[in-house]
Amino acid sequence: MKGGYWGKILRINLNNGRVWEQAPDEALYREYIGGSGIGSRFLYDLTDGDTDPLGPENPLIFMTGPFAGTTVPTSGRHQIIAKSPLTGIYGEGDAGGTWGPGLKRCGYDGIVIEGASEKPVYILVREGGAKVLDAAQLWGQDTYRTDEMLKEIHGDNITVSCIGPAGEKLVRIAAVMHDGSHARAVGRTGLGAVMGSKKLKAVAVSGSLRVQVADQEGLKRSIREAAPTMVQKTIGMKQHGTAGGTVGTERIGDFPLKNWSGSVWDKVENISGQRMTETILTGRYFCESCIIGCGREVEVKEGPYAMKGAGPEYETLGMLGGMCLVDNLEAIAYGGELCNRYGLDTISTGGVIAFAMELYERGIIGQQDTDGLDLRWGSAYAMIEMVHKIGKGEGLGSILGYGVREAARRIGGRAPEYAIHTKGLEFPAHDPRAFNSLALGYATSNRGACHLQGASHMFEKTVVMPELGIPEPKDRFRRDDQGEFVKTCQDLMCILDSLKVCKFTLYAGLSTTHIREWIKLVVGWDVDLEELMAAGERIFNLKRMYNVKCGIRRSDDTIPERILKQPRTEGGAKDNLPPLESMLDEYYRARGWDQSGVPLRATVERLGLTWDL
Amino acid sequence: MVVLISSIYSEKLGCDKYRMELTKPVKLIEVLEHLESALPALADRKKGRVADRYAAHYLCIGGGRILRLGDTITNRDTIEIIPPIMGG
Repeated sequence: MKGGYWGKILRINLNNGRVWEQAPDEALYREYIGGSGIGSRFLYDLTDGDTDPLGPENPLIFMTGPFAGTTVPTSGRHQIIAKSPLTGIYGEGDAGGTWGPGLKRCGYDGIVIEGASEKPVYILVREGGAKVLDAAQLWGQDTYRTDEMLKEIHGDNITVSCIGPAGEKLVRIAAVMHDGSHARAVGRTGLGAVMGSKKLKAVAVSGSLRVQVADQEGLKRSIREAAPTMVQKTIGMKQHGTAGGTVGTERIGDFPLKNWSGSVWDKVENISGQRMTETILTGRYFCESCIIGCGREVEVKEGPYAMKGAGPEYETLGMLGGMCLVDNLEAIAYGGELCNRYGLDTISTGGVIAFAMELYERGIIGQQDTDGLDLRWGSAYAMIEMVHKIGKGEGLGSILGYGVREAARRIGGRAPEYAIHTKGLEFPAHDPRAFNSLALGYATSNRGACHLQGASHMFEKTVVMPELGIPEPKDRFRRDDQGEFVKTCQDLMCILDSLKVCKFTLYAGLSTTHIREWIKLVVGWDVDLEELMAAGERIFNLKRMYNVKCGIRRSDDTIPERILKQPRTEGGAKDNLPPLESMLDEYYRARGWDQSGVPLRATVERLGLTWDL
Repeated sequence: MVVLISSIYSEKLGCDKYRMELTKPVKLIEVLEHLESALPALADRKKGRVADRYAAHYLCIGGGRILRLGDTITNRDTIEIIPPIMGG
């Protein structure tokens, strides 16, 4: 390895405060790339199906990719991996911002944190080492204040990853937050609760080492050639953020409405990115090395929703807005701000609130269950109050904080019919009835319902990748030819999640040629397309093997009946229902899995995953 | 044919609907070249080719599909211009 990696992983045990360095073989880096790949290998090796996600034996793994700290576009991301306390299976999330490159400048590719402290602590990583420090004064603070306090102590050049009160209280939909009020969330699968279970309030990084690059001049030239087109192709996202897609997704029947029971919504423009630009937008921000700049700074100057901070993303608008039928942009911005400060995943938070609103409207729960709150569709006040209750773990919020699957089980009766999740993870703000491939992607995603673990819908909108057999965007309603396609998309996303390159670069025209060229220029490896895609396939299958250890089989590879049997009655996805079972058969064949969803021995051997056999 | 214009753009363009007479089927890119010429604000003051802007500045849907620039449009069609769908 001539560059990109340091070849060092920091290991920290919070049981005893021991800190040491591990130097993995180059083969681990080449076979698993970084980020999600190396993280999943650590998780597989360190835990098993019986591991308690909130026990000290569940490691919390922070991992960067080879491009972090370089000028490769959008490489300022990192991955966090652990067994999920929300789903009980493989858990991971990623975020942009500045933390990943910050860790890299300390001389480490990742951190594996094991054990649990008896009292609140935080970790400070600097060049050549780390300290475990007392966090008594930080415990109980929200994430923005935690970031400020650590900067007051250690200076402005540190970058902070931390939890808020939700993670401290082990709320199962708690996020790990980064970069203070320029919030970037590792939101999904409840990893904030894993951090809370270790009494770990924050991991702050500060370093100034320069990441080595195999061919600096070549990299400069390559990026100079690629960047202008990438900037041009994503200009809409720079102008209006991820929220700029809100109106379009509603028109094609993709936008989530009324706990997935709605079809069209004439109020969607009230909460669009374009409306945000006209009203509350005050600035934009970039993750490190980013050429897109989708981050929003917003300010609501007065009224009940007065706030100043990170503006709502598309997902937040979908889940706190459309799902709850709240069309008040200021209220959603405020709700998103509260989620950031408590350290809550806005996707799952919106999902559980919409679920509770439906139960309330149907009379399954009443005001005796909501502390008198009138939990009606469209009530911004109720939505905000529920965010507070979930963040504080109070009243109904303490039940919803377990996520819809467990909340439905605890509430009982018909509640499970309205819990929209796969494997315990709430749906994100894209409807599989608008893209048949998303149904298969949600059903088979290793972390539960997720649009980004396959991102096949991108290739059914505008994205192409001829070298992977996608010369033009696919028809989103087609009923066959899905198995190999979704497999390819998932393998590619494993590569991006391991390199830690933002998936929005796909809209910018990123190709596997770019990826291979940048690996060559940064790391010095010649990687052909076959080796690259095999790495993605290996990583995906390793996660699946982990889930098989946790008991996952075909019956878990599904999506809720509402999505499979109740079509949208109007709008751009009218009458479409995804044919999941036939797609699943095709998919298992493409994957080389048996009909119960377990990777065949030949598949495991082909991918070099045989050490555990 | 009829081009419906999302209200996100209609104020800027000064209309919410645009009618065109097509004497023969044409490619979507030709429709958009004509449209940008008739409604210059659609191009958002950007120069260059429609192909460079399509999907970055705006997108078209029709018949339940997200349209490609090479799709054929006939005089009986209705299409809609919507904001680009990215992110999330």
